[in-house]
Amino acid sequence: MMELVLEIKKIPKTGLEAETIKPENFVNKSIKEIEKIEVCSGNGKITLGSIFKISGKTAKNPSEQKIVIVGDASKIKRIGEAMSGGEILLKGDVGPRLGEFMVSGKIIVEGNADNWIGTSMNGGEIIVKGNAGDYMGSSIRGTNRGMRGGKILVDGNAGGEIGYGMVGGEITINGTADSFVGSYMRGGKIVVGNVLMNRIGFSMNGGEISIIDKTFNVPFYFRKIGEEGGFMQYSGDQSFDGKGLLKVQK
Amino acid sequence: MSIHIKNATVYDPVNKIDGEVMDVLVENGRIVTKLDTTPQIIDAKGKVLMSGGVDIHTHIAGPAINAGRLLRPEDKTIFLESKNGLHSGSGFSMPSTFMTGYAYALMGYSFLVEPAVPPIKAKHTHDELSDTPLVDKAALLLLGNNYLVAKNIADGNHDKLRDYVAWMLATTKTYGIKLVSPGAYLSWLWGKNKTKPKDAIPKFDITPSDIIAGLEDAAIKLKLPHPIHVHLNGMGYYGNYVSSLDEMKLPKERMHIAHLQYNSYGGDSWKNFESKADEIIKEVNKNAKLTFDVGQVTLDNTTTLTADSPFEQYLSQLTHQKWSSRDVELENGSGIVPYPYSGKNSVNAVQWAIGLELVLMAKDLSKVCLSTDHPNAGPFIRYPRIISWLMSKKVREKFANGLNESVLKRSSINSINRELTLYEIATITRSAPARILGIKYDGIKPGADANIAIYTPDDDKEKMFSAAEYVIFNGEVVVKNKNVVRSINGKTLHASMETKNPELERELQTFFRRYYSVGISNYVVS
Repeated sequence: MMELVLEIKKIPKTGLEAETIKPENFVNKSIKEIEKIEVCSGNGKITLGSIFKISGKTAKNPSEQKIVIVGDASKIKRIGEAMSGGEILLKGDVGPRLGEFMVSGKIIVEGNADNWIGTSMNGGEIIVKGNAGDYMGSSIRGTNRGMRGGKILVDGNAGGEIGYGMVGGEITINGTADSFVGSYMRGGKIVVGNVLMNRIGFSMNGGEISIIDKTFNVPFYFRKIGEEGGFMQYSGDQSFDGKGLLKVQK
Repeated sequence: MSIHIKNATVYDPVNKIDGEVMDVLVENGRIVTKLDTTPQIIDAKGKVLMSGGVDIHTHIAGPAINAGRLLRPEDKTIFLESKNGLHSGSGFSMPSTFMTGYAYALMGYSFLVEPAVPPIKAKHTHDELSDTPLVDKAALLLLGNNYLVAKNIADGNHDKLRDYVAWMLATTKTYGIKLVSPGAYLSWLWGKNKTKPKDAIPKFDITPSDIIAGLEDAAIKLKLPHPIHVHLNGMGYYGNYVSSLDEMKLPKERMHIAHLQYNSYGGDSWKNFESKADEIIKEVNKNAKLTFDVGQVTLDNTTTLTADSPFEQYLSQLTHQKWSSRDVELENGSGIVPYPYSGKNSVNAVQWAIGLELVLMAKDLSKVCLSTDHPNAGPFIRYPRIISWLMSKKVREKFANGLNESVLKRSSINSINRELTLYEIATITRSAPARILGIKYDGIKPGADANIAIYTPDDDKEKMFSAAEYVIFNGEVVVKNKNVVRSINGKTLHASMETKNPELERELQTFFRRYYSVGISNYVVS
């Protein structure tokens, strides 16, 4: 795999809308050409060359391209939007909407990630070693079809409304998530260590949520249906058809 | 500034020019016979020249479309970047105002009609219309469910109704009268739905037919250039063609029917939904009082928005989509529901066929206007695609074969061999709507306004009409090489009315104080 390193020099106050930072935009290009690629900031555009110190090599096709971003990228939005292959490694924190509409490939965040990561993603993999924000793997604003495929893994904690309207794919959170995990969920799978506030699986009608915490209070709109493999099983949301499955460790 | 267009192939039904090669000279915003200054030369050899397009029914401004923009953030994933000093914009089925103006200009349009303005929201509508560049505009006033209109008709005060309509048109600076399911909203307020033309409206001793007759009478007395613009009762329901036929026999002189496709449905459930375009078009062909626009379904993920709130309630329950419903005090209601049309859906596929059948089976195309009832049946940017379906049997057959098989069983689209010519396309997009609207529109002849579109001919008609090579608006080149190069503002037309009925104005003062949320001085558009 060819590695291209983008080292952050200085990010403007207005932040960046960097949907152009993804492997398929960098392949078969020289460093000079990559420096000329534009990203939006505020009401204008600036080149990558003025933000990053760029070094390394580019590959011939996207699946062999690895992008490493060094420094604090928490003001950069939309990295890897709709990316179709390759790998992005972020050494620090990252801003909102990482890997939105992602199709395939891999994104690794060594720091913390912001809100809306993996929104409406179709495939690929996102790994966050720190904490993640709200609306992870959910739908974009206005629709109720969330994440359709792929995997998201968070080592730390996550925010609220994880997997809103999720239809497929898999989300794993080792730490604690905030309220409304898997609301309007219709498919896919969420595994979460614990939840801060309840209202888990609100309006869910399909899919599966597992909770590792034994002290978890199952909300009233779930009904117990049995137990299997060390997990108590509940179906819900009962105000809908109750096709969703909630598992709580015994 | 002057322009000399050389050797263009002109199609202009207004002046009966069918594919004649000629030069067109433009100076000071008009087409002229000779130029006084050194012109900019446009070589249009082998290119097709038409006058500016006219869209008779397109929801581009006002409170409903704006509420739709708020309701559907997901519609905004399409962006237009700012360049050449133009505005940026976003939106697919409901683009922002500037983007709307640019997109219409790029297709060669120069006149748009916003067909549904609730009187109290006229200020908002004019605000948005003034931000829609590169086109001239007009707006129609919603009066079909207005309390005072219904009351005057119920009391038999036809002179007072005429004066009230005149006052309303002058006050709101609008161009004509629009009726949306007359009486249906008034009935819905009392829990009734699917109002038919002969159903009594609660609390008023009248029927929708009386409202149509009353407002047509007012339009005739006021000598309005555009006849009443009617969205028939029962729009969108299966089996509505029977009541549509009843309603189509009502007018005394003239009536324009909006998006007729939505009123040509047979069947007694969604399962056996079928096309009744043949019955409907038979009536249109023999009744000289009727004109219509199509409301062609384009099978896109679009937004339905109409002042027919009862139907939107029904649609949201049918599709489980999000729904916004509004009551506009004493005047009307409105509803908004997103609707993803799909060719795999048996009903949507037949709806697609009905619009095309209506155009292709019409005997006299000067009664027919092309529209998608933007954004209800599809966004206006799909007009080129509709033209490609109308101009080639092969193209529409190929498309129909990719749809749900119901389209072949429950419509006769594949048995129609007619293919429209460029002259006929110019008729349904230019001369017919202009004549029905009664605007000053002289086509391509000396003295006419210089609104001109020049297209590069292509076998792929969608490609040909998607972007004009050159567009001239008010005598200025605004589109060059398929790019919008500059933005100028058009004018907004309104009916010029004189109101002299002091008694009515005194009464309205009291009425506003008692029942409206605004005073009369805040109601007037100035």
